[in-house]
Order: sequence, then structure tokens, then C-alpha cells
Amino acid sequence: MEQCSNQVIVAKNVKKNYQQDSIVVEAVRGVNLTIEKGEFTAIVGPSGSGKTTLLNVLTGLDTPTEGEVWLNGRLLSEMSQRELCDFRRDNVGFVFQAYNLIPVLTVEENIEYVMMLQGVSKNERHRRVVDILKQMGLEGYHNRFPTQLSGGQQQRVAIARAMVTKPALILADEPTANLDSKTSRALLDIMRKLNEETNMTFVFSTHDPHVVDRARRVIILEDGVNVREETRN
Amino acid sequence: MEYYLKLAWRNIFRNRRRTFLTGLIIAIGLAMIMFMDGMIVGMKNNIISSGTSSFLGDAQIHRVGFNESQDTALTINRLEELKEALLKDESISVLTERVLSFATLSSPADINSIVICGVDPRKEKFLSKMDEGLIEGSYVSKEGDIMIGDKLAERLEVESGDRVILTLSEAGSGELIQEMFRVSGIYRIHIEEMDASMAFIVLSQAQKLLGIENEIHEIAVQFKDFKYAIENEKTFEQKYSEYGNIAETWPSLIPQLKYIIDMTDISIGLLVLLVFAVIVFGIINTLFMSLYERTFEFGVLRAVGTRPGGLRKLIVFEAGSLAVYSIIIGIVIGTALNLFGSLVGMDLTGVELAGTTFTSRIYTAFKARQYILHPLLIFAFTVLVSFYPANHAAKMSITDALRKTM
Repeated sequence: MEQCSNQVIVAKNVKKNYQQDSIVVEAVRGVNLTIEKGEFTAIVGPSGSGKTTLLNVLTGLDTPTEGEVWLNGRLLSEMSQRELCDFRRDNVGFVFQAYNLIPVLTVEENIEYVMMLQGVSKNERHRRVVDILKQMGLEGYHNRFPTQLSGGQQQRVAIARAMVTKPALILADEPTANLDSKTSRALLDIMRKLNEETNMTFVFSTHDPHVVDRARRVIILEDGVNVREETRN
Repeated sequence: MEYYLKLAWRNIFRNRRRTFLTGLIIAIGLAMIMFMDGMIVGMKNNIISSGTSSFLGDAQIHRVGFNESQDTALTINRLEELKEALLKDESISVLTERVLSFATLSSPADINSIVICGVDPRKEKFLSKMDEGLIEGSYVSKEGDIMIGDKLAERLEVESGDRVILTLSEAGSGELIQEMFRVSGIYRIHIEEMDASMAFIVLSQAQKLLGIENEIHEIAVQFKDFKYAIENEKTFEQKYSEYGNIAETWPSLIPQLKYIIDMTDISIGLLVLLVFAVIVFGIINTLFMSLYERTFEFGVLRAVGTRPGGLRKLIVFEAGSLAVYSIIIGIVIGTALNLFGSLVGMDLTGVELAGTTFTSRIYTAFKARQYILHPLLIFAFTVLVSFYPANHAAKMSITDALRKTM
């Protein structure tokens, strides 16, 4: 299939079934979507609607039962596990809802972890960490351990880790689920600002209406199917 | 690599109490191996020393057939040539000549069968420990003196200075000879057969009584290094088994002693295996507990690009770090125990083991292997068993891991 150079994700008829005891659960039931470079997209739906499963499939963390996914121009099903692992490392930045950070590593060490996997030199890693912490408003926090940070600060460090390698896509699965509404809005504001400044693609899942307000494109998922879309300014 | 090492080292201290307790199990295991090794080596040295230094010597030379028949006519052939060769042998520190015969010793109170041994008092003192075991009187020094064990003295109801009659048969003719002796000294060396049924007179008188002047039945030698008898058993035996004589080192003379020593080596092996089994369960248990606690974290690490091999490396490094931590504690405890054992020792004097009696306290011995081989084995074993949980973590599905919350 021919891919446009600005398409970051293309999903065609993606289905994902789970076997739970003797029952087959259809978590995602034929999702079609395209996400273009620089989008700030929210995947919204109630709990159990298949948001996390869809994000996992879109980023190659899980394999679809049916359908195909192209990420940054590469068909994921054609890659070996090792290729996929390296491809994910270089093309996707992840932010999870909590416990994103390795508690025994400092802020700086957490952020440079992926760069270390990529083989970036120590000096370059340090330079990039200093820059990203400045962007995230976390200057002077580089030697702190995650337990010495608030929940919002921890999520900002997680975003910094996701962004520092300049991946094609930042994927955040319910990044505000464990934060209060004020901190949630502040975090989304930072993400949106970074999106505008860097033109990096952000896709996040949420069921929080305050957070949804910040998205420019909203994909609504119900029972494993994207039922409709909204575009906002 | 450096990053994983740092991460692994910090990870093992996330749950300090658990790490300490697991580390302590491994450390105690290592300390026990070090201590038991030290004690067994000490015991081995003591057994060899008890078996050889008391009287036997590290090796002996006899006429072929003498040991089996105890025929007093079977004296060593070409004695002077043999002595000359032995004196030139640089591995030998002491040699002494002996005459041996069955005899009876009687007092007004009783009569007892004994083995009478004619010795050269000046040389014998350097090889056997009868002089150290004297509890009454003095060593034999002249014709007419006899030195007996305390149990024999008790049976004969004699003391130092009392008179006894020795009866023996002349070599060759078999004619009975009787001679009166004065008890010069009484010894106790804690070896039943020597304390109860052996007596010593001067060599020249024994030769005269047996009618074998200038001839002897036994040459006992002591090597400069007692291990020479084990390491060069065949060399020595082949070299001096000539002219109708037979040379035997202590492993051949007292095979049960060799057997005991081999058994101690097996004991060390079994002990090490037992301790390793405990360590295996300790490590696997700790690593799996730690792994289940951090399942989500492993999911995050895998999601952001850590390869399965990287995760495997991390777990193996954690096990290695735990091993290093435990080995340091283990060496401290093991050294303290060995130091205590080497200073205070264990008193098993008089206890008999496979026909050999411990004649002195057992002190633990320090060996390089306690500090190199045993810790290395513990480290290698710990790392080896960690591959099981490490593989489990590496094969974990990322999405399953991410579904696990703390």
C-alpha cells in the first residue's frame, strides 16, 4: 500500500480478540483510521471501549487479530520482534497513566534511558536532557528521584523521556488518569504547546472531558469501533 | 552495560530487608562452606599427623613379607646401601631404624602380650611422639630401660622404676629369651594399641635379644612435606622397593586413612551441593518476588525499546549484584569463624576415627580456595540460576505486563 509521507499511523480494519477463559472478547472490532504528522488527537471512550488495546496495536505492543497497521510508513506485521522493538524505540514515545518512571533512576537517568538504548553519546544525552527539562519547566530537577516529585512532575518527566528522542509519535495512554483536574489541564496544556512548537504527533486516550477539550481531533470509540470523529480548534 | 549494572545494583536495594535476608542466606551458606572447608582441612591434617607423626612416619621400608608374617628373621636387605640412598634423598627430613617383635611383658601382678620395639632414642624422638606423650619417668636411653604405655602399666600394675620381665623368641631359632627391664617411663599418646600393647627398648639391646645384630626390621621416614607421600606415593615406593625390600608410604600402610581423607573431600562436595541448593531456592524466590512486584515496570522498559535480551541482562546483573553483596558478607563471617576456629580449635583428642585417634586439637586451616574458588562458585551459581527468572521476564508479553498495576 502506498503511504503518504505525512501519515504517521494508518490502520485498516484492525480487529483484536482476547481469549478470556473460554470466552472470546472482541476488544477492537474493525477500526479504520489515519493519523497525520503534527496531529494532537484524543481517542475517547468509556472504560472497556478498547482504547488501550487499540493504542497497543497501533504501536506494535500487541499484534492485531486481523487488519494491518502502518506506523511511520512501515507495515508492523512485516517486522520481526527485534526489528519491531528497535523501531518502537526510535519512532514512538510512550507515556502511561502512572508508574512510568524507574524509581531507582534519577530524572536525568530516566530521560536518557531510551537515548542510552539508541547508543547516543553521554555528552549528547546530557545536552538533550538539559534542553528538554528546560522545555518542561523542570530545570534543576535532574538529580531528583521520582519519589521526590509530585504526580504532575512525574508525568512531565515521562513526557520528556518520550519526546527527547524526537520520535514520529508520542502515545499517551490515559496520562491524566491519576492526576487532579487542575494538574491534568496543565499537563495537557504542556503537551499541546510542545505539539505546536515541535510539530510532533501526539495521540492520547482519555475519558476525562476536561482533557478532551484540549484535543484538536477527537476519535470516539465505543465497543471497539470508532463511531465518530470531531475536529476542534 | 554500565547502565544496566548501575540499574541492577540500585534495584537490589529497593527492598533492603528482603535483599539483606536473601544476602544473609547466601552469605551464611558461603561462610559455612568456608568454615567447614577450613575445619575439614584441619581435621585431615590432624588425622594424617595423628596417623603418621605419632609413630608410623610418612613412609616405611621393610623386607618383603615382614608386615604380613611379622617374622623376625625377615630383616631389611642391603641396609647400608639403602640408608645411604635415603640419607641423600632431599625429600626426606628424618629417618629412624627399628626392630619389632611380638613378646610378652610380665610383672608380679599380670602378664600381657605386646609388640616390643627397639629404637634409636636419639633419632626416634624426631619422628615419633612418644617423648611428648611421657606422663611419668623418662625416655629409654640405655640398655635395661623399657618405656611402656599407660594402659599397659595399669594392667601390669607397675610404675616408673618398677621391674618387668620381657619374654620373646630369638629370630631364626625361635628359642625363648627372657630379660629383666626397669620401667624408665610411661607414655600416653591416645592410640589404644600403642598405649595398651607396645613397649620400647633401645635398638642395640633388641638386636642382641633377637640375635640380629646390626640388622633391623623397619626404616621409618618422615618427609619434609607431609603431602609428598600423597603426591609422590608411587615414585617413593618404586625407588626404594628393591633388594627384596618393600617401601610403602602411609596411604599404602594405612589405606583406611586415605579412605577417610577421600571421604572428607566428598563431604566437602556434598556440603557445597547442599548449600548451593539452599542458595538456588533463595535466589529464585527473591528474584521472582522482585519480578512480580515490578511487572508493570518491565512492561514500560520493554515498551520504550528495551530488548528481551536487555531485560534478561538486567535480571542476571541483579543476581550478580546480589551475589557480590552476599559474598562480601559471607567472606567476613567465614573469615571470623575460621579465625575463631584457628585460634581456639576443637578438642577431639582421644576420639578414634577409622583406626586413627586424634592426638591434638583440631584447628581450622585457611586455604586460598576458600577466598577464590568458593566465592567464584557462589557467584557463578547465582548468575546461572538467575537465567530462569531472567528468561521468564524476557518472554513476558508487554501488554500483559502493562495490565499489571502496582
